[in-house]
Amino acid sequence: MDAFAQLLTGFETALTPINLMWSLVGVTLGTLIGILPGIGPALTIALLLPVTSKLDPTGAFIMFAGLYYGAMYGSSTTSILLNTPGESGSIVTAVEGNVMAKQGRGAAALSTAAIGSFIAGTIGTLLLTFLAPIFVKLALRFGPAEYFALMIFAFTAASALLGSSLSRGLASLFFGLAIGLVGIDLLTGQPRLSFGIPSLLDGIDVVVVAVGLFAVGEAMHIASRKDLREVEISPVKGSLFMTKTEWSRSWKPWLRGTALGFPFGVLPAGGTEIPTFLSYFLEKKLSKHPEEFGHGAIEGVAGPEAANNAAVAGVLVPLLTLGLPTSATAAILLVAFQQYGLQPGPQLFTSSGPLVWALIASLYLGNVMLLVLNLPLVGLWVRLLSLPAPLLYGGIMVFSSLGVYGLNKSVIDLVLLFILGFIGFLMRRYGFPVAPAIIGLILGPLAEEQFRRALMISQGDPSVFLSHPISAFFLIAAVAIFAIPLIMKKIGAGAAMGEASS
Amino acid sequence: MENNHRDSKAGIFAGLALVVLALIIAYNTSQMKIAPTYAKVGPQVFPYLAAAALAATGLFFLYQTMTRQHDRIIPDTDQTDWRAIIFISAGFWFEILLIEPLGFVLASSVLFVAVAFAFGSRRYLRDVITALALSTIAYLVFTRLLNLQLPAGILKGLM
Repeated sequence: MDAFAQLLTGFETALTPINLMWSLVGVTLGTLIGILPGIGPALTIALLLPVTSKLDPTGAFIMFAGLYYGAMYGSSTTSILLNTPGESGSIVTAVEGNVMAKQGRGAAALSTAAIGSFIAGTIGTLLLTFLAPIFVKLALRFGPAEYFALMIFAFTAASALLGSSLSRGLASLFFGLAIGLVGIDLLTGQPRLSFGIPSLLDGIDVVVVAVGLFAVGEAMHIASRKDLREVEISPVKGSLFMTKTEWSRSWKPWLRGTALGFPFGVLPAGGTEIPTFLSYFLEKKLSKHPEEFGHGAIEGVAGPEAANNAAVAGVLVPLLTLGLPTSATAAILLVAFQQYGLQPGPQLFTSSGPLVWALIASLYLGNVMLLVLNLPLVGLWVRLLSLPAPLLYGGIMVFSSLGVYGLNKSVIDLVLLFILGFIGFLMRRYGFPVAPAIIGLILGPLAEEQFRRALMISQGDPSVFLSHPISAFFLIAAVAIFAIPLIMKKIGAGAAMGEASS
Repeated sequence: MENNHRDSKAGIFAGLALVVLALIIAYNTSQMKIAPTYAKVGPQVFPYLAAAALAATGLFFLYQTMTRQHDRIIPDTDQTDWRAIIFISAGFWFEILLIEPLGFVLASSVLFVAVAFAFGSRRYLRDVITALALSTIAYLVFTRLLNLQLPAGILKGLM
């Protein structure tokens, strides 16, 4: 039990007072941003990057991971009480959860969400603990060609699954890739797409893009839509202690949600949204009372909330073992690793083993903290929801411009922030998902590096991507993601699926 | 009908924007001077691929719109408040132009008030006080505790 021994060492590090404090800071901040609409974990970590660069990396990553987990806990509260999801992974929770809240069963909905998140998060972290070493062994056999093919697969999966249509996802992804090209080419020192502007030679900072597309874009979008500006808060009513029936109706959805969420996180299939939708439909199908769905069925909260937390744990597997981000937050975390000169991937476990295992151990502790923060203390968080939107978004904009200006003390960065924010607004308005752009931006330069290395090794022969079996497998899988929906449409199954998801 | 019209406008706009972006990348890349040793897998290959991909998606949007098969994507609302976008943009440009001469605290406070106004707030006194308090606290925390330099501007003597 090699992993187990290393995990114990990890616990020793994670249990030191200073790291416990970072974990507490992370989960508290995560719950906070999860509850507040308009800011998510990707944006918050991006804004924290300049500040944390001087911190000890172990503490910083413990905080980031707590933040990522915490956001999923917090966003369920907003979904249930406000009927607007705090994060995209909690969209489905709002369907049944808000009905429950309006019926005066809000407390039960919050309980099943928090306990389900705890169970799913803990099982997910356990799976992460034991899967990671296996993935590392596998990843050690990957060469540049395999990595490139895997990234292409991740690109297509992310574009196909994050958003309303494949073409929109791809447009967003390619836009991100294009931004990633700006700056000096690392292999030859040639400037690319810098248009003679000196500050573009270093490329456009990821923080500027993330804050622009997420925070500024979201603020403009919400401000432009009068129907989104005003929301109604349901008070927390009922007992936080679930009744026997509620327990017995919740535990199976928790486990099924976990089983759906984790694999979706691990696969480069784009984060937390899809498994929550699948979980909702699965629970509706399996329920003995399908007529209750839409009228406050507790299963419809328990399943999806477990699914999104399990997916978050799953996302960490490819991020840590392969260096492959499968969600926008994971992509920003990858940048955080790079900021410390660390490259996630199989070597990370040998070169920075103690850090990685302390990070994993902190996830177990963070889950316990989050359960306490989100159940007995839920009343405190609810008050945050009554924060008026004008002040909330005013504050978000001030901190966004502060974080971006603070990067390089450059007014040009602020101009870029505004332009990207406006693009983010247009993307939201016309149904283009934003997350693929972030993934393309961060994964693009890595994919190019592997692409060129593979071709250098093969002396320019492009067949290398197909002659290596693992690489060929990923490329075929990527093509399948394109082809399957088209074939489904031809058969006519597409129409039925469209109805089910609308 | 109104929605159909808006859909096709969005489709044409998105398609054209992507094609234009592709052309800019392709032209810019073609202007690079490359040493012949890098000719095979040089720094130009990936930008060309990206440009081709962007152009292909852009043309697909145009084709979709022309043949009227566009998927309906815009949520049903006609309540777009363009004035809100103008107020937020104005606040932003104020910050961009005046953060250095005027200082972080004042420029950010104006941004805050502009955003709050765009979100429909008309409680000016509350907004101005919150803005000044928040910007000042942020300024002090970042410059004193986190050693991040921010422009003090005309309040230099006070801060």
